[in-house]
Amino acid sequence: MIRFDSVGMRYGSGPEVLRDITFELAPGSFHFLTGPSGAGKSSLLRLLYLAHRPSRGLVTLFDKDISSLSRPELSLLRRRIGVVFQDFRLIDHLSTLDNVALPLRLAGAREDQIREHVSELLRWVGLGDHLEARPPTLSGGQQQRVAIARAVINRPSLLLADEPTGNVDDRIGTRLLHLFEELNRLGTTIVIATHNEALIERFNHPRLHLQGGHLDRLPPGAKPY
Amino acid sequence: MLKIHYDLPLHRDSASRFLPWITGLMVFLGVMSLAFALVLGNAASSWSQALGSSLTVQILPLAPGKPGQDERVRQALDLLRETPGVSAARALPKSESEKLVSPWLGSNASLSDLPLPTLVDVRADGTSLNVALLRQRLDAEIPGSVLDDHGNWLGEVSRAAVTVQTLAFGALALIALTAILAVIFAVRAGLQLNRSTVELLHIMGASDRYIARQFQRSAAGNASRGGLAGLVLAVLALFAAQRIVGPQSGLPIRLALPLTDCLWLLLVPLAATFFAALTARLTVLATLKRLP
Repeated sequence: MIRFDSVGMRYGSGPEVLRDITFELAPGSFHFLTGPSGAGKSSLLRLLYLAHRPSRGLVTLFDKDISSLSRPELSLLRRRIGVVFQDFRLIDHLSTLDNVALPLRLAGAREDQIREHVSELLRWVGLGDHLEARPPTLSGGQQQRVAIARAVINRPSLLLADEPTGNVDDRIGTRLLHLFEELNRLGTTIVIATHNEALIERFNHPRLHLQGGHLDRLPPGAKPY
Repeated sequence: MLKIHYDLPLHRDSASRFLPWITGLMVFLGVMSLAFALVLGNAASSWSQALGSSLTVQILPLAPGKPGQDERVRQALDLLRETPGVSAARALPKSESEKLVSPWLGSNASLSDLPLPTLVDVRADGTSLNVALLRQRLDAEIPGSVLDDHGNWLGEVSRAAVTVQTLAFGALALIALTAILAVIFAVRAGLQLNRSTVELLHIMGASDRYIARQFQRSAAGNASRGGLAGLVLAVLALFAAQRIVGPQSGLPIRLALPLTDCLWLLLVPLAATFFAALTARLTVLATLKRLP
């Protein structure tokens, strides 16, 4: 489903931040992405959610070589990917409901269905009373839950999350991981970038470990050197 | 009612807020330029129509001993009245001829001593009159007669009207170009101000057309609001000018426009709205191509 073959990435004419990255993720797999700060986790995620093109190598997403796709085809591919950004990237002038509804609107869903589904999901993540609230009026944890709800609302084929539990307490963090596992059981491939070792130990999934621009694949429970 | 959904806060940024003002001003200037060009075109056309159907024959007085002036005028009238295409011919009384030259010579001048030519006002009927043949016959049968079909004067007037009209249309084109540049500037500023949201929409799978549509609608809304205000102001200004330069002013020009010309003026804000939307769309699509 996802395949990276000798992929390198650089920003502009700077040095390569990722070098010879080669890995493959099976459909419906669950991986943690770990590594020290500056190792290239966010850059790898940017390649995965098609915000950046590799400077070399081959990236295959959903069995399609992304370098051969047209712009409209790339847009359709991006709609199958849900992203939880580290800084949430909510749109401040839109309500909580409209922020979460965005992927459905992009997919052309009907307004009555949008309202029903979004309200239900926001209630589930504990934001049922904040449907019309604007993001700046929400706490960090609440904003993070809105960002997660937006990423999962259209049941993406691939979910990418950058530190999704960084601003919530353990109880909410565990609940969110259970949500990701539930999505995973329904067939979504999950990659979660995190520093939270306790969470990685509690949820037994393999990890992709980045260090010095290189990637290692570790089985569940194994720790990097 | 269909609610337009904006993912981008375009109504809040300063670049978008100034667009209705600039469009309003441009539409005002555009309507005034077009109205000027149309008024001038209509005036030239009516002068040409009025003069094109009329000719003047001057019968110059001859030296003593030659046939009498009255006899020659009568011969000329007979010739003119039997010429196909002439609907009427009338010799101006001497008093009227004197009135025509009095502005140049003064009212106290003794005009009765002057050998003034007799003027014959000829009305042509449609286009069947052969002016060249008529001129030949007058030359042959009534020596000392001169036929003036106002061709030179009409040519001058027509050239002047076309020149001024071209300038007015040129001004209109410059105004349109300025408005388009203003829209490009506003859209680019809007893209820059909302760069992170545009990138977010792009990452989430919004097509270029989806993002462009938001800018396009915003530009169309702003341009139509500004354009309507500009049109209303221009119409008020035209009404005011019409009252000042009315028929009582003595000027050989009428500012009142026929209905078809008024419809052309209505097209200015509509065209401004259309081109603002189109420019916004093309600008956004060109800029988004830089995203991966």
